[in-house]
Amino acid sequence: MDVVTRIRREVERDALRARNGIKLAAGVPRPGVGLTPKDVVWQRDRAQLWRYRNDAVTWSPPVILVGSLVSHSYILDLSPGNSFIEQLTAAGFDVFLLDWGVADERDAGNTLESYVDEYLPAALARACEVSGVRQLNVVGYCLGGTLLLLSAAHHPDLPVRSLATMATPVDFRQMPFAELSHLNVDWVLDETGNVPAAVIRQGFRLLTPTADAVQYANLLENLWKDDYVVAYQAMTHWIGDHVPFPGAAARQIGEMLLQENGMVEGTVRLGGEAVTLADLRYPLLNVLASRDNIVPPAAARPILGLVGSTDTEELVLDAGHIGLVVGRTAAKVTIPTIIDFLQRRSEQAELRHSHAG
Amino acid sequence: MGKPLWKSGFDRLERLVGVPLERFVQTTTFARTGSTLLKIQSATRNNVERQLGNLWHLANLPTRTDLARLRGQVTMLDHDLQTMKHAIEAEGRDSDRAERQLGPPSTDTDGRGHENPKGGRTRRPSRP
Repeated sequence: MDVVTRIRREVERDALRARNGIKLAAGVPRPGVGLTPKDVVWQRDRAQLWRYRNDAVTWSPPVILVGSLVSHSYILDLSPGNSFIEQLTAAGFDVFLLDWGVADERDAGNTLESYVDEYLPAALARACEVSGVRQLNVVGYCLGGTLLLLSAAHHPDLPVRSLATMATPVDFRQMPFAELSHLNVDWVLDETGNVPAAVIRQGFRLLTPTADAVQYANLLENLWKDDYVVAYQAMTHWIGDHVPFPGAAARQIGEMLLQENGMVEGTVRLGGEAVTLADLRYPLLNVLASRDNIVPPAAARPILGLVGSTDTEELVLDAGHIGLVVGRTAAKVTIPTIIDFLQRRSEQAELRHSHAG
Repeated sequence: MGKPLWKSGFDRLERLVGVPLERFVQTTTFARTGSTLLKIQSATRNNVERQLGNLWHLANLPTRTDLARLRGQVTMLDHDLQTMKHAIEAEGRDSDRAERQLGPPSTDTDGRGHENPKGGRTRRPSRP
């Protein structure tokens, strides 16, 4: 490219940068998130099961996604064209999402048992009921995957055909802040009895102290791209939008999963019963992100060695924690790989709709 | 197409500063310091609340701790109600399923259930 062309290109980009910069500074409205049409098909306390509308379901059984407890689930349906759920529905799946909602004082007493033994089995049963099937393919993201693994290990009769875990921690000794395992959770609880969202947000920000500066530099570099600005707005909105974490569950995670490293050592006890991943026998896909600084690969990799499944696969992607589910790598590699895994464990179904009611 | 020069420089500088910072926040020293600060913050807050609580109680007013206790009790009550609600719903679903398996119950024209041989009334289909 000659010098004149390069100069002209940079001038054009600077003009676009200035335009988008003014828009951002003036407070242009944030793009909508979680817009894929859906219906609530089950609710218990703050947890809801959503079923996404799809006029072209061609695969059976349905897929149910389980999000993390520390963040909003709309990361899985960030924005049109940048949505895990949108890609799954477009591939012909009947898609459900288990959303944990925003914990308040009524959830402060929720333990791991509440999620593993109550909400998850009830939501899976409801998904089977409304879709008229006996089994589901289940995908867990981050801590949602951990809850899913524990539930599947504790309830071998769950209506599950296969499991996929994405950035799911099991070896909590490899997690950042493992050194804080002896921290008394009560020191950080607020008056509702939960770990406040602000504490979780600050914790994540501490992991990468320069993240804000990097974000602004990346924005400045790409400010001339309209689609980048839209994605940036949606993403920064999600990154700063954590939810409170139920105090009782936080205590258990601190003691059982962090201090004892229970999932690796096999010392997890739920409802007075020992829960070991070796009891989990469903086909399993484990997806890791090599640049994940929230759930480092070392924390997620041991899953396949711990479960009792014989049909297992591992996929390591050159992505970060969020890059697994949104962005280019997700759209081109992660999601198609998960779709391929799910399709191999599904049957072609007659064309039908997935509408609630 | 490569990165602009300024961005390459920024990235190098960021890694120069970022890597040691990221390592530091994962050290035992940082964890101990953080824990100690949180412990002090929590103890100070509790202490201040206790002292303020004494003042409020002198004026016969409820303290934050009193409200928290009350809130906890309401929460437990709400939890018990929810548990009962779920149990009733589950029981309703089970009986609906059982009724569906047995076939629809026959009813009089006025909608009342038939007397059953044991003298009780047959159950009316519950709402979905």
